[in-house]
Amino acid sequence: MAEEKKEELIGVEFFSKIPYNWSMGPYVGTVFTEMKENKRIWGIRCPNCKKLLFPPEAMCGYCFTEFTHDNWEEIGDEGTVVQFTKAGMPIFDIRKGTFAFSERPLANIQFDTGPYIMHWLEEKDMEKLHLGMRVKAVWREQGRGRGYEDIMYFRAIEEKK
Amino acid sequence: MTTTPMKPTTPVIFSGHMVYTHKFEAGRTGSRFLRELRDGKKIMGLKCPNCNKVHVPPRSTCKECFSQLDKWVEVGSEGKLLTYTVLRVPRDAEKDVLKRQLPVAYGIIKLDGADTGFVHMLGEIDLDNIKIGMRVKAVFREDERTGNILDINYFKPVSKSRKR
Repeated sequence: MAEEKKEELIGVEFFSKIPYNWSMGPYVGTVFTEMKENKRIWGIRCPNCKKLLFPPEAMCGYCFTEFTHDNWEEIGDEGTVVQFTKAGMPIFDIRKGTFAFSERPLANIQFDTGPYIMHWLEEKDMEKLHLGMRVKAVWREQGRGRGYEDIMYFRAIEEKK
Repeated sequence: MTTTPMKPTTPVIFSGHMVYTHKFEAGRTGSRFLRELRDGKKIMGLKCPNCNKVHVPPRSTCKECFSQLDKWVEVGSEGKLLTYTVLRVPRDAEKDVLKRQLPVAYGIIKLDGADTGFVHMLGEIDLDNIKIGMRVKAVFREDERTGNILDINYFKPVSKSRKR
């Protein structure tokens, strides 16, 4: 038995896609609707600890104050790049359920009002990017009502003096 | 710092996809079956020494008498259609895993020399004219066989002239 040539065992690999529907709830839902219809980004200012939260939830994550719809505050669509990177491997596209290389760098952007957002940058050349650069959201003409997807990418704007 | 009240929106539904990666380990018996398919375009079965039934696709234990099976036999690539169904409702499986266009017909085929049914797709066939009992023949992939059940592309009807 020991002399017997080791036999080749076969494993068959495949993918399966599982579709889902995710209800965004009253707070994130409001943000998404406003992004789609008015191209504005909103957060909630906690009435107790005064932190501006984006994306908002039903309750403050810092002091557990329950929110109402009375404390919305506009965040604006300009900010500063805090981190950026370009993925060297295919990224999963939740919309299509496929993996694809992204041509744009991904950045962590801090809005002027404080909150952060993770989004694409327009500039594809990594050499031209630097930390602290000023960016502004470029909106899709026809919003999809899918939140962050209504912003195409962030475009570099003039530095603040 | 000016906060304003806003009306909550109507519900927003976000639709997306999750992807699961699967790996199906064929095991010793299944691996040999797939290897023969890949390397020699042969469809192999296992014959039960006790009840003489030939199992295609092969299994290590006879489903009739629980004997251990190790006698490999080659069965024909032609066979008789036992039953079929036509799938017209799209599923992700056909598109992503099997890479087929809808509608697609599935058949259970009793290959010549086998005693069990073998499930596969039917191709080069008029979907309205599939008949139970018709003779079908395996069409193998010619480009690159990978040791997958899809190394058989589909089963096509055997043309009438060749049929007896």
